[in-house]
Amino acid sequence: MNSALFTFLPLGLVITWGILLLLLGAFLPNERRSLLTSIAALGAAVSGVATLFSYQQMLKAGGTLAPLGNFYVLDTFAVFFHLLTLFALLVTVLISSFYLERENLQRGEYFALLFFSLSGMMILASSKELMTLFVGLEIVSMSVYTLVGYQRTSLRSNEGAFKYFLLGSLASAILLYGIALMYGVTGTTQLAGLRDYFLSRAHTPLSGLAMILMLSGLGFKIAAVPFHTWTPDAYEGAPMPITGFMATAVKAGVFALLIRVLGEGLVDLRAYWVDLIAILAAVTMLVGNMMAFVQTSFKRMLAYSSIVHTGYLLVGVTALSNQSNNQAVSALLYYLLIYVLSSLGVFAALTLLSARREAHTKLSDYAGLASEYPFAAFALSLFMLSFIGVPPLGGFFAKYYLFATTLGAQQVLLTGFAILNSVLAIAYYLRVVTTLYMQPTGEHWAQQQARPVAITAVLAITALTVFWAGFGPFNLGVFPGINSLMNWLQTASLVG
Amino acid sequence: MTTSSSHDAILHTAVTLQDTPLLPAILAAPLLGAVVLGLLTLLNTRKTQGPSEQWVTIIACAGPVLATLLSGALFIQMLGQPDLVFHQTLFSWIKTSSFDLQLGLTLDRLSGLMVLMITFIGSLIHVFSSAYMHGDRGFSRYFTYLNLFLFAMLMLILSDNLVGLFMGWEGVGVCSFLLIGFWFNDPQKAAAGTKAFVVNRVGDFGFILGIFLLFQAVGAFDFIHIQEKIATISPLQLNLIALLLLIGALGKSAQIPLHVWLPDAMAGPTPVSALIHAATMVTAGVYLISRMHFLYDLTPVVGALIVTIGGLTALMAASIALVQDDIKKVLAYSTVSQLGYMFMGVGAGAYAAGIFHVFTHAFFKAALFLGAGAVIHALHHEQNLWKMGGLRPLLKVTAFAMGVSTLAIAGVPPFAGFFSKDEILWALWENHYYFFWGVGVLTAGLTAFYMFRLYILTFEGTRRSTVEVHAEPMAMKLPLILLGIGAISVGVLGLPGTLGLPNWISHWMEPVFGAHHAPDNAFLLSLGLMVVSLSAAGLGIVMAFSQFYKADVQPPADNFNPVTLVLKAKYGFDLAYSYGIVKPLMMAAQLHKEVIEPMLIDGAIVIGSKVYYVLSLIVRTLQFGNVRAYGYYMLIGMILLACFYFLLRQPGVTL
Repeated sequence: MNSALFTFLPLGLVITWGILLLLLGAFLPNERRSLLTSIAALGAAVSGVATLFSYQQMLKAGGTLAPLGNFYVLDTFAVFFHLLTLFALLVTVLISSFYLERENLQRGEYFALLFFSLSGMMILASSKELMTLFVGLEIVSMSVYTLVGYQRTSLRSNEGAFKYFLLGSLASAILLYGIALMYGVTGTTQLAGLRDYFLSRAHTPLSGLAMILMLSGLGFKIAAVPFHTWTPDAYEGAPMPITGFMATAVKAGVFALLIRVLGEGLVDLRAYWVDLIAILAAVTMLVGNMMAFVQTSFKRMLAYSSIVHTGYLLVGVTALSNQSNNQAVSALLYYLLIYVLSSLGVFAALTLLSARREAHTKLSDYAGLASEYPFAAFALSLFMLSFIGVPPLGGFFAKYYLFATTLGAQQVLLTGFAILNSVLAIAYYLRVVTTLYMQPTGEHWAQQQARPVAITAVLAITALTVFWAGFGPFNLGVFPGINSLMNWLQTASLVG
Repeated sequence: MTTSSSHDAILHTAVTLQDTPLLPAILAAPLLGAVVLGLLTLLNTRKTQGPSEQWVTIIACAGPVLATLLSGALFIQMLGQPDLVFHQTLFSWIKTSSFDLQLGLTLDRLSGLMVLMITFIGSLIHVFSSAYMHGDRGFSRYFTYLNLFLFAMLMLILSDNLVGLFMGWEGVGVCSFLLIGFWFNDPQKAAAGTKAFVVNRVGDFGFILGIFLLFQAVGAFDFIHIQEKIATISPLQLNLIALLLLIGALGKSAQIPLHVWLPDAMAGPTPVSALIHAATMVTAGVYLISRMHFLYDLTPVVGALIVTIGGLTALMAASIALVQDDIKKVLAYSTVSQLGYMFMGVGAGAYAAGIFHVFTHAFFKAALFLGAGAVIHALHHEQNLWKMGGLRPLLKVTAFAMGVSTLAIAGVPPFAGFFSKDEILWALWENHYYFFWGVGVLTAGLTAFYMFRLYILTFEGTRRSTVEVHAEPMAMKLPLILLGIGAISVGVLGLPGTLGLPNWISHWMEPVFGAHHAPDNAFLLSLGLMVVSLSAAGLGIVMAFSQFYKADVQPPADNFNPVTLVLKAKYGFDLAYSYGIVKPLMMAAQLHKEVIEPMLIDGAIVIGSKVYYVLSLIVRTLQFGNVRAYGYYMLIGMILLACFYFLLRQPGVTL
């Protein structure tokens, strides 16, 4: 096969699989619907393997594959996000099989939509052209709007989807307007072209306005305060696996876009956007923490917790620069990796435990879980501790690398504020642990007995990885170590 | 073999380093036992019955016996070859760009002797314990600790660097803590464990500071490199390092002013007292100073300080032992006193004599403690000397072992203690510590007196208790006999060289400490000094017999003679520490607990969190679910960003 075709192999597989699932969903008799899960899981796995193949071809070709110019490229950065989102997809499919069966929601378009949304994410990670990126973003958004409102009979689900859709349209419009203005100023939509333009010409008020509009639109998609208002409702209304998917894959995909735009296209304007990002980061962390602190619903608390993590990631974004030895990209990717793994584990556990019609989403429902579900409770606690950043868990080193990088970028005040916010976050994360372990067991746990293998396996794998990631930096000889992963992430730098 | 060649290059003396995997095996044997027994213990925690005692005994004794055989095999290889030193690098523990900490083991003539003694006596005490601890619910837990202790002790002795030594040092401290407080249901015993641990912390603090300072000065932790660069350190720093390391040694070896924990440590099971608090762990301080002899050779002032501390400790402890009525307390003070002797020896530069006394003391003191254990076992946990008496016909083996050990500690030739004690006294005289020679002789007299008091009150006279006496089981007899034979015979290893007799031990240590030849004309002088110290011991023995060897011996009536009061109050150390340190600290803690913590710390935090909570509630009201409002938030946010951008951060550009 032509090596250029390898560039599109993963994307093509994902799209094909989405169509296949849609057709199968329409034609399969009702009682064979469970087959869809296996096919979807297979699709995610096959696409993952295909990505690895393409990666090998990419290495042979010298680090990038770009047969379509900047419209769709495959580089290490893109491969990382492809693999990460595909893993999130696989986990989502696995936990969905249990969920859909329990809620009696097995329909073909569910998995098809997941795959379509993933194809959008792959475009987000791979494209270096603003219009293509916008199309990718819309593919992601449209699929996810539908998935949020997937429980058509549930009022919460509809409300969340509708709010998400209305506000999302507004944000898309703002973003598109920003792109249009930028094109008006520079005459190009290529990120490389933007960079060339600003290398030789001054930044004008109009291009500044374009930048602000783009940042606001993207701020919505990553759920930065004050563009976050859809998050709690959409997260709460969506089916639990979809909430997990949004908090992990969708968030990672949009961050891929943000990092591409700021770290590649507008990187020479850093002096102009760095303060805006810093303000957004600070407000996002603080408001997210405060809101998470006063929630009674576990699911809503996690929505706000994901907002707080957006804040931390934005702190890391301020360290992006045009220096060739810049560590910011690898630190951000590592943070995303750990965050995605922990979140997937949390939502897997919640999918298992939330009971039919998601009856148990309040934190108080989980009192004393440890005596009935010791493993799930332990894994949940581990993830919470990793979110806090307790050494030696992965979350600690993720934060450590991120903040070390921002300190290196002279963002001392912001880093200090971020560390302060990680302290504030302890309050609600530890409350989960105490609720799980130190309160009398609720009676409703006695009846629930389902313990599907797939979810247990997901929990075990994510928990183990989060735990092991913490030992990586020590070269103990026995462990292969995160060091090699970090070295690999270093190669994902955007500007060389 | 790369290590040996690199070491060869830096050694001044021609030493043959030989790598051997047997060294780690010596460590691994008891460690493996500890791990297996620990798992067994954990698995059986919730059952009413522990694991089978028979199996536990087999597993527990296998490690020490194996270690004894291995170290014996290595020791025999060293016999004919003075240059042979075994060595094994384990692994690189901490590796940074600036330094590489390699853990390694080394067995030279000093550590070889120590290891052989520790494993041998350790094995005997393991065997003894299997009978002593019979029926205790914590049987397997006890042996877990005991095996772990042996591992840590061997690590301490075998390590080729100060960091490994310190880890072993801390390891024996932890095991000592665990074993003193073995019966932790009794708050007094648990407190004794804590006291031992805390007092040792003081010493360890000095020790670790010393290690840091030494590392700063020479940039190495292993003894070979330290020895090589020792001359480059400034005298002031050298003395400071010697002093700090000495503080560590004082803590572990229970010397003034850190001796207060050892008598309390008798709360542990008696075999533990024999192993840890008599034969092995407490001598670690002496070992440390001998190991660092090249440092102390250069600091005669600190050496004099060591002699002074050792002398005072020896005399003080011996005098306190005069009035103790608890059989184990007498032995505990006697241990402190004998450790004082060893310190005097190494302080005067007679390292071989100090180590020799460590060696002989290990045998007779282990025999004494195990004997005491057998007596306590026989009398159903009675420890008061005044409730014993007349036990010799009933406990013949014990009486034999304790009898010969008493003779040995009293310094009666040809029993073991005489030779080693005499070596130390001679070294003191030779190095012009005439006063402390006197102190040593006085102490020898006191020692003879109180030890014979103990022996007579326990075994002679009429029985003063009515309880039925358990005979010693075989597992007790065997260690007692072997140790008794040791107490009789090991003295021949160090016959006084001044009398022209072969002093094997001093010769053995020559590769480590350097050669030392007795002056030629010392025959008469040393014989004279010997006679003096012997007559002191004889006087003590005679007085003990005249006072206690009668049928109707009675405990002395309470008298308020000031000397007795001071002795009973143990010179007031405990009282001084209690009023000078513990109580003020407790008061400060109480102040924090009652005032500072609730008002300042807790108060501030509670107020802060309340404010945060209220603010959070206010922020929450912004999220009231109206989509139109959410849209406005976005627009307002955007406008604010734009305002900020254009008004504040747009250099050179205006709208």
